[in-house]
Amino acid sequence: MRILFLTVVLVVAACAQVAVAPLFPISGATPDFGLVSLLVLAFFAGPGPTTLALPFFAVCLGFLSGREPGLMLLGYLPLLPLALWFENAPMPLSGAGRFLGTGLGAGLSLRLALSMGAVLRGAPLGIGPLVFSVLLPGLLIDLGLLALVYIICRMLRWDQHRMTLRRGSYYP
Amino acid sequence: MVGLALLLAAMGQVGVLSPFQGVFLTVTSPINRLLSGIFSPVAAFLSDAGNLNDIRDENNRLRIENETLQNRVTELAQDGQLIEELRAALNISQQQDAGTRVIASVVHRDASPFSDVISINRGTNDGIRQGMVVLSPQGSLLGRVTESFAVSAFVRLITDGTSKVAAQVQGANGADGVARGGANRHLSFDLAQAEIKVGDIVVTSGLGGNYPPNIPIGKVTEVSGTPQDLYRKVTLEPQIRLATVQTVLVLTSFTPERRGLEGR
Repeated sequence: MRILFLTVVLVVAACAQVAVAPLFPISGATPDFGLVSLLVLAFFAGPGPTTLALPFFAVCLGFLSGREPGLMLLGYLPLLPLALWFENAPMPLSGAGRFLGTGLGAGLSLRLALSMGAVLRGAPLGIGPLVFSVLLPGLLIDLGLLALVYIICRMLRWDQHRMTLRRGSYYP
Repeated sequence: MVGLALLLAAMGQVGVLSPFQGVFLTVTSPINRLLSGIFSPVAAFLSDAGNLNDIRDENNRLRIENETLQNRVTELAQDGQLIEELRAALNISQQQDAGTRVIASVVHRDASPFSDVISINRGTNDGIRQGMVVLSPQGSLLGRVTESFAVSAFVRLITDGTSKVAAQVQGANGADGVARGGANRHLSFDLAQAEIKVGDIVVTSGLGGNYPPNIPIGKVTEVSGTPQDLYRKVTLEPQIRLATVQTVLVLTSFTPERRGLEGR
């Protein structure tokens, strides 16, 4: 039942990403509902479900947007390693700091991957547009959206999950 | 996971995923329509409220342009009447092929500074195939179909960074070149060797067989460089505002001769 619910949520998030997000652009960048959904899943349900949800969502979004699912997966891929790195980082970070840091890093990676994909397909490479029309507005949108979502999650009294995967073992 | 990403990329290139993509697009199209239906009016309201000054300026400009065009229409109607009379006198039959067009709605738009792609709610079930030309309701060039599925298709707009259209300046000048999309959905007219002025209309030339000739692409808004330059830098403004287009026409009667040459 939980898997079915998760599947529906991810499909609707992918649909919202292609049907709703482009309607609200800010300086050329659009909010990334997929990133938010995956991040909430990773931080509040754990890395286990996210490991399965990540490729599924990447494929769904790739199908809906006409982009390569492999490229989408590569873009979202740093989410879990970044979350783990922030958890074990030497500097002290609050839950909100880890959540925002992971989200901003993963958003940056996704936008960079998609831009590089377009450039590899033949679009002209422009460092100025890449920085000022893709990465910086994207960071600002992500920051606003992720902060809002984190506050909502905390108001719902959801507790953050540890990012370390439990090692499998055999029982005699 | 990286291996899975590479495997998916390889499968995408080979086309193994296309049937699954078609089924997925069919299943999710009602959800997309529902979400678009709910949020489009909200986005339009917010956009209008934010651009009130721009809209006011544009309205004033369009009023003047409308008046000019009304006068031009009157002149053309008189010319048309004269042509009809001459045609009747010379006993020439009129052959006019408007072409078969399929009306489609824009489901979503994937716009970033490097790509400009829309998906429409018509596909192979309606006779839409890869390479077909897509026009605005007023007949201006919007782009071409890059992928089609049963109930939907992806269209690459002329402002996409990878889009190239063989084009020429309308009228006696006839300078031909390439209308090319660029970063930030910028449209330029490259490789044209002739005197080009601001306000000139650029249309498709039909060269290469990818597009039918004489479809309006855009108006020249800026010409930079010196007359000694081999090619001057020409900027075009598309005939319609591509960001707000909701309905498109797919020219199903035109089959491109070099389908796939521009890549997907």
